[in-house]
Amino acid sequence: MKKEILKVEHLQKSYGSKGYSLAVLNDISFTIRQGDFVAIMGPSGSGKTTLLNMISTIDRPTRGTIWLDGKDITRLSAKALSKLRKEAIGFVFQDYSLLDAMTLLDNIVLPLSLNGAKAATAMKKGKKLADQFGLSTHLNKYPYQLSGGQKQRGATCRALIMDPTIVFADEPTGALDSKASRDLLECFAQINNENDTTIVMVTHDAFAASYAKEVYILKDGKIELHIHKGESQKEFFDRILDVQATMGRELQ
Amino acid sequence: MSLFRLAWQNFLQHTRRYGALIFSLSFTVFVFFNFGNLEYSGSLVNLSAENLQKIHSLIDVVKVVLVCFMISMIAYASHVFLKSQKKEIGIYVFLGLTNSRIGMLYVIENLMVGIVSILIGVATGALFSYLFSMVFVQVSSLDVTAQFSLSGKAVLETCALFLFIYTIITLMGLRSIQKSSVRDLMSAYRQKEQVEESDRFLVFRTIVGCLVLGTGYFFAIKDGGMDVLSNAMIATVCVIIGTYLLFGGFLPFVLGRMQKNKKFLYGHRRLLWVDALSFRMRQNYRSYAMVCILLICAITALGCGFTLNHRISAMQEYSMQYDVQILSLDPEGEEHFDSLFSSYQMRTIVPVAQANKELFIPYSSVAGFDIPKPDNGQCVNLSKGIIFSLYTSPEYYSTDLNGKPLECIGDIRTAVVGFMQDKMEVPLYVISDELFDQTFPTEDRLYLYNYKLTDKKEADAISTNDPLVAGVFRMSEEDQSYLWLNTIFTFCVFLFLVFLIAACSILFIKQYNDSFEDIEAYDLMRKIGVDRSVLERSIMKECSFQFGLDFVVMSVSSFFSLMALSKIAGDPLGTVFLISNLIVLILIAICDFLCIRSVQKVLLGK
Repeated sequence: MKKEILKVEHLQKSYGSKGYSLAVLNDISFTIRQGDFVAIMGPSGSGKTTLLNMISTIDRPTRGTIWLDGKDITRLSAKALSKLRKEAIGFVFQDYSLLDAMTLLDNIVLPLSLNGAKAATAMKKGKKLADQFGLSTHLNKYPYQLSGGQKQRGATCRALIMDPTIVFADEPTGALDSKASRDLLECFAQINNENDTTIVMVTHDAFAASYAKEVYILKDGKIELHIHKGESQKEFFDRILDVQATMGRELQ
Repeated sequence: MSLFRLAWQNFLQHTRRYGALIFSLSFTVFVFFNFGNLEYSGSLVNLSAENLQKIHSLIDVVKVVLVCFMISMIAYASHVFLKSQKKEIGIYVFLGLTNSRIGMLYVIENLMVGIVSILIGVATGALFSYLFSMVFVQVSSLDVTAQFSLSGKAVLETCALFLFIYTIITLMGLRSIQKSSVRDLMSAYRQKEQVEESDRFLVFRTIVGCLVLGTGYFFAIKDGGMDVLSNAMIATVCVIIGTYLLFGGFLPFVLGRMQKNKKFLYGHRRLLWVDALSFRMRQNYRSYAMVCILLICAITALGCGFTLNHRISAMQEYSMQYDVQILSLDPEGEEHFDSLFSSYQMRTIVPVAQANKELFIPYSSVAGFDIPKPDNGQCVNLSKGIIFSLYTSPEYYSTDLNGKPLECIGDIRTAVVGFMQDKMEVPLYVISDELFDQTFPTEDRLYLYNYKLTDKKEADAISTNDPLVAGVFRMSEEDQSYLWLNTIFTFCVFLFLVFLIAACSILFIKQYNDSFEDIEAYDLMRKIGVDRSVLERSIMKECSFQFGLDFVVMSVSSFFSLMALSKIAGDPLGTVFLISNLIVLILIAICDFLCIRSVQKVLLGK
């Protein structure tokens, strides 16, 4: 059995004071292993971004435990969390979050350079990743000179430069057109298959979710459904759509 | 919500951003108001009419300088703030506000900054006006007692003038907003801040900048006669242009090279601050150049003040060196003249001879003074009581004696032969004893008996009826006609402070405002796990680089400007250079520290 990378147990997140609180997440439990590619879906307000923030150490839960790379992150200090983010986690944001003042290559190697790695090492790794993602000819360009897809692939390279244990992606295709989305998701699938990179992706897009190997569907702060990819991506995509349609009818 | 209320809320929210500008403007208004108050309130009424009139003229000159400086300072700050406000303004457009209402919002908010600055400046000025008068009188060594008096005219003049300037510049900013499209208002300007010229052009610009600067330095220290003033003008223009070109060429080139050399860039965590500096270079280098020029002006103003102070003391020494100077044909008259006075502090006897409407004295009679010893073909000029001389090289005073050329090897601008040295209308030279004895037989000589008396009133005992007396110079009262000159030092000190505070404020405003654009970037870096200490160090390096660079370039240029001043004044200014640079360094270090802390607070929180 593959190594456990992320284990969430009875996770709860509430906002507000004791007498008047609103539970956004309620008793969430799941496990993600090495090499998994997991999509978290759900309607707006289901708590998927809140869940992502907590498992990626950006926010703390009200109750429950989160084990990431063998450590209970709910008990770690701010300094230890920062270290974990640096060494074990890669982030891909919806709005690319590339720094305007830096070229694409500088953006990609930024985490490595700022964490004291040798220049030669940083350059070598950065160029290798850029090559893998088809960005070799764009390395000296600034973000405003790049398309959305190129920027997002660049952001993905940055997320991978530190060889993280797990990559968290928050709506990575949210700002992309269909072709750029497809290119990015192909890249995700490639690094997952070839490098055994563990990916957790929050998305509302069924097509994006179909690239994952399993999907958790949240509703009202709970895991409503957990489905695994079957024979083909198309079949998986159809099943996801069916589930969404079913949930929509229930709402009506 | 009314426009005024919205503008007021915006102003309160942006108080920190405006803080440095308000401080600098308030200080300038404070100084302007107090000089005006000195002029109109009659607090210097006990001075003589002549001195008072000249001091008032000086105050007018300083006020003009302050106004010109204020215009450029406000224009710069308005440009910086307008750039940071444009995105907000674009959002207002999307919310449906018309251009005229947005413009009114901008005008109201901007005028609030101006009005607050003026009010603080005038209020503190009024509060401290008596102290200011006392300091002014003390520093200027004016022998009067400062009086507490507030002038309504000064208040009105200060408020009206600065409000007018601020309004004009605000309206110019308003026009800029109204001419911008929504896209321009909303889009990021950062790509336009990069310097996009090729390396070759930047190198060319650097070389031209260095050549122009070098030319400026050359003209600053070049010896000249009547050309000195034009040389000074050329030097000023060349240093300003050269500084701009140097910053606009050398800095982008070096940072560009650093950026392209990835081995250098990615090592020692330089990536963040080098890229940040390089990316904003287009706007930055103009700010650096402006700050550098302001600092040079500050140091030069202080140098001017010290030079003048020293020169005025030297000039006053002419009439204070001796109480009475007696001209006699008798070389043995000291016994006779000594008997006329009960006691004296000092007595010197100086033989004097005239040839071709020039006076000559032998070196041995003035050997006790710091004068170079001339040989038989040389002479030393004893200058009149002047502040500055356009002739910076002693060569210009070369002369001849009975057809024999005398090369002038020194121009002494301090009192050697007292009052007579200043008041005689003919040049006075020191020559070698041998040449004096060869040229002037005993019968052609006069003898100057100089006395510094214990009781000055005894000077009246000398009369031209005395057979041994050919002429007498008496210093009855301390010459007060130079009193107004003492105030120049005070004006120069205040100008130094105004320019220095403005320079530090500009750098602070620039960096503090730019930091707001980086908040998201720093949030991102913390999310991806970059250590806080790494980010703090990066901020520190970025801020300190800018302050340090300006200080270094200013230091070199100010060396030459003070050298030029010392040539004109005839006084060495090495100590002034060191002290003024030290003062600037301390203030810059304090400002840098405050800037680092403020920017760290914005970008990293508590």
